[in-house]
Amino acid sequence: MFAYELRAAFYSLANARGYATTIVLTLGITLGALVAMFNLNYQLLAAPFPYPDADKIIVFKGERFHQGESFKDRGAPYPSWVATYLQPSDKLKRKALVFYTDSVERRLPDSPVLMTANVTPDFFNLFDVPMILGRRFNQEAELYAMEQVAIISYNTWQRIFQLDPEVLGKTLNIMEMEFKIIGVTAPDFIEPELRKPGLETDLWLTFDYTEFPVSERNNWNTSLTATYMVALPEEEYSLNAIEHEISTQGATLFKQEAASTNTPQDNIAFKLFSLNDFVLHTASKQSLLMLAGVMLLVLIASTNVINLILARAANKERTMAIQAALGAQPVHIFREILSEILLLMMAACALSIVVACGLLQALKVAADGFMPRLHELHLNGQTIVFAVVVALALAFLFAALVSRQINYRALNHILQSSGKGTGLQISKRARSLLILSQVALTGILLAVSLQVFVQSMREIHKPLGYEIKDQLQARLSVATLRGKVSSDEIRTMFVGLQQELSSRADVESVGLSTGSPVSYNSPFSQFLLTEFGGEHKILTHPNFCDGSYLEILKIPLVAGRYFTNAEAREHARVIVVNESLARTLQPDGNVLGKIVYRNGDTNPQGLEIIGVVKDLQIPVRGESLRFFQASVSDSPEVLIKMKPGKTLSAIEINQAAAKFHSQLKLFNLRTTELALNVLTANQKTAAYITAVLALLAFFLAAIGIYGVLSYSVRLRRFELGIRIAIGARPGSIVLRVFQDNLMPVVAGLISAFAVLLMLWIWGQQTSYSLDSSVLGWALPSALILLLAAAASLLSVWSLIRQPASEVLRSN
Amino acid sequence: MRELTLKMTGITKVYSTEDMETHALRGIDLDIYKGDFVSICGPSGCGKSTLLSLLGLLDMPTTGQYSIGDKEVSQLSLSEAAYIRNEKIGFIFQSFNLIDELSVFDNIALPLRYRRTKVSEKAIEQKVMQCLQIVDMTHRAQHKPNQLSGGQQQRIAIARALVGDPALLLVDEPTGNLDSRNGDTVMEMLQELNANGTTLCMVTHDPRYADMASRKLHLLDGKIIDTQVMKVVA
Repeated sequence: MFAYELRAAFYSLANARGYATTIVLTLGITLGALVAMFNLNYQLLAAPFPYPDADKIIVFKGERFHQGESFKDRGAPYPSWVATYLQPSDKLKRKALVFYTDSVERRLPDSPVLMTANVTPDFFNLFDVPMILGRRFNQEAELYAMEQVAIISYNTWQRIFQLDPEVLGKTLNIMEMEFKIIGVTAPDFIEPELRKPGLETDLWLTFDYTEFPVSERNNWNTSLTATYMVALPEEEYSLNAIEHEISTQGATLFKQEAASTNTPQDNIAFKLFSLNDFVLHTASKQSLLMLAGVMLLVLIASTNVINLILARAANKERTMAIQAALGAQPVHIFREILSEILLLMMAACALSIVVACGLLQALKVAADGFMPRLHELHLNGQTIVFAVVVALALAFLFAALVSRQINYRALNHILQSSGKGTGLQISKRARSLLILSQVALTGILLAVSLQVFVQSMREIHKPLGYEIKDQLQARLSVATLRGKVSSDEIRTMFVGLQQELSSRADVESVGLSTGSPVSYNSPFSQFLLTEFGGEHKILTHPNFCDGSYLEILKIPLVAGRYFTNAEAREHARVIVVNESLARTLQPDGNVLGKIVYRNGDTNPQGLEIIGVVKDLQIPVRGESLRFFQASVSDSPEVLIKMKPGKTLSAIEINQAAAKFHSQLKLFNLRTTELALNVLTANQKTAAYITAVLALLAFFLAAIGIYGVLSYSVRLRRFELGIRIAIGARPGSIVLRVFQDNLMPVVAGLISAFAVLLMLWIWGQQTSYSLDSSVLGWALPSALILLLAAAASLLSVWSLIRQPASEVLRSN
Repeated sequence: MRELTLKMTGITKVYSTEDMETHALRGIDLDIYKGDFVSICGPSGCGKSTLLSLLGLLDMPTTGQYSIGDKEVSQLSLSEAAYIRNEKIGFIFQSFNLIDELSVFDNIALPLRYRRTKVSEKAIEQKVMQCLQIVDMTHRAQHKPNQLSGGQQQRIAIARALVGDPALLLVDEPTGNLDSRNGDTVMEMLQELNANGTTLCMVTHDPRYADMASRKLHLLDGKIIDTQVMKVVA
């Protein structure tokens, strides 16, 4: 019986291709977005990591504090990590240290940069790393064993060794040392994204061979970022107890050692996270927000579809009446409606899966680098089941809603020769409810999307306060030079390289600094003192640079002057501060000539402030208290200002660097504009997603509201025809229709406003809060009112352009 | 003794609104026997359509008794009425009321698909083809109604009315939308069906066709004011 109904529904829909296509496209696209977001959220919130005991794995992150306040950019010192790792603990079954860095393979002609992880052996056992060739690190590669062995990733094997089956036993030259390859990870190894989302390690070395200078490995006043300890705890201990033990051990050792340094007010802690929390960080919040947005979109689309289905049912009223006369029960009619909707929903479901696949691919590209676990993201069985269940649920819901509108008793009257009675009409209440819900849902989605969009665009297009055009940021590795040549000699090499590059015709200028405002390096922090050895400390972000660097950035001077290259090379004790720091030092900001002191600096001469520059507007990071000190670091970032339209290749820079030392090799080169793009990628993605959401919502709302209004006008054709016949002008007809439609539109806007107000109040108490801008709130209301006016006009357009007799006759 | 197909006693139908009551039928007594051909005539608004609705269980009377065979049907639920309608009554409408989206075959098969107990596809095919043969339209089985002339459509409607072997055929102005030649053909077909034992009750304005019935009822202001026996049915 149902097969017959499905067949009949198929033929019926074949005669209503426009209707079927509209519904399948509307729901296919929006359901596709929902399915993709479900897949993403499932992956982030529910899918287990592909490691044994993944739910038990914990991650320790080191933090450094000063007087109880955390330094966001400073981790625990190197010796504290090693000591904590070596300290026996009955609470941990397995543990491993991991340190992430970039390394340069120095022997290969193109000096490839390899994302490197220095690990202790149990790292591979904790994550059960599958190997395609060779073996994992064993106990012979334990800390202090100084084993020069390496494991490479499948990608590295492919990229550097072209999948050479004889790769085992070959060596890689890192830091001027040969590391023997003992294994290749399998291509299906899903790496734990500890350092950042999208992490792909190319090379694993033992922890003994980090690029952290050997001379500093016993210095408790250093800090090691991108370092973690992963562990598998014994089950009988609570995580709090484990965190307390590890952190206390580390802090006690630090206190003992810190007594010999000048940081008695500092402390360290090892914070414990579950692997899931650590990897997800705030990503689940973003993905849930996207899911909520898409759910609203599906609701808007569903409202449209309900309207279309109701209108079609109204058009099929006579068919239903014939069926009822021939003995069809209400259940027969319900089944016929359901069959038709079911076919449409299954088609929409199939399309949604295709759309979801496309969206997931797009998401992998757009969210690469800030959304974790994207490597594992693929359409899974759960998602397909979800798509089918949602489609089926919507089909039953729509069929039930339409059936509720059918007055079965009245259907029986339609076929009387006098044609009295009507069995199915979308009531005025139902129509008003449809418009109200459309407007409310669209209003909410538009307002939230516009707020996020405006916020993101503001962040992206905020004037930076410094120049970024035609700039290249180059980082050269000096790790292998340490211990062999002095810091002064390294500085001399960089000054030589600066002059060499500056002499090129295509280069305008070259500056040296510890890192540009948008740099590879995270900004590091430093306390400034207003009195030598004083207690009053101001947390700042310093930058050791030369005059050319300041000239290239063109940070506007408020007072005083920039320092010169000569002053920087001579380490003249002069600094330039930003306005915020100037005002912190002295409320009127007039600090020229003032002397300040760096914490830990043993020179009582202090640093003289010779200039004040405007604050920078660093996207995402914002501005802090910043100063620029005239100095050339022994591992500077080289900032190259190119002439317009010119660029430099890595080979050209390496050739120039080789003139000063054969081991001075470039390991990273990018434009400042690219660096800025990377920094604002998250905002851009948010802006694009919200813009697409807002446009889709508005488009769907336009179709939906027009659909309901044009149906209302069709029902009122006779009444409007009479009005035209007795002299109503087209303008007054449009106005009347608009006024009649205004009530549900305004009610919808008020509902949206109420929900948004509640969301805003809730957001103030959570981390979901949004900035509120007048544009973000007013524009949706204006757009929706405009949309209602346009829809009113369009729905009566054909009517008011006809003679009254025509309107009445065609009724 | 002739077998009683249906019996109406004291049937009234009142349509009520907030302001007024309209008495469409005011005490109808009517017996229709197996093999009868009853025509109902009267001016517009006399209650013909209302009476036909009540006869076809499309509506329920306000008061009075109505039975089909032995079964009292005056106060059935919607669902029960639908089953009785499906099994006992066939309809032929003035405007044919075929479903455009369905083929001729599927239009005719429709009543069988709503049967309380499932009818096999094979039985449906057999029965539909048999009915198409009766109206001489077997060659049009796969056509759509809009591919047929008015006369052909009405013949399909007759086939559909017959497919469920109804006890009573209700015919509402069967020639109203047809020219005289097609109208005559349809009436000949109905007469032939009646001659073969089908019970018919027909509403018509056309006195020529009304006279073809065995009994002619005149309705005025919701009452049967006259009954004419045109010929005695054995």
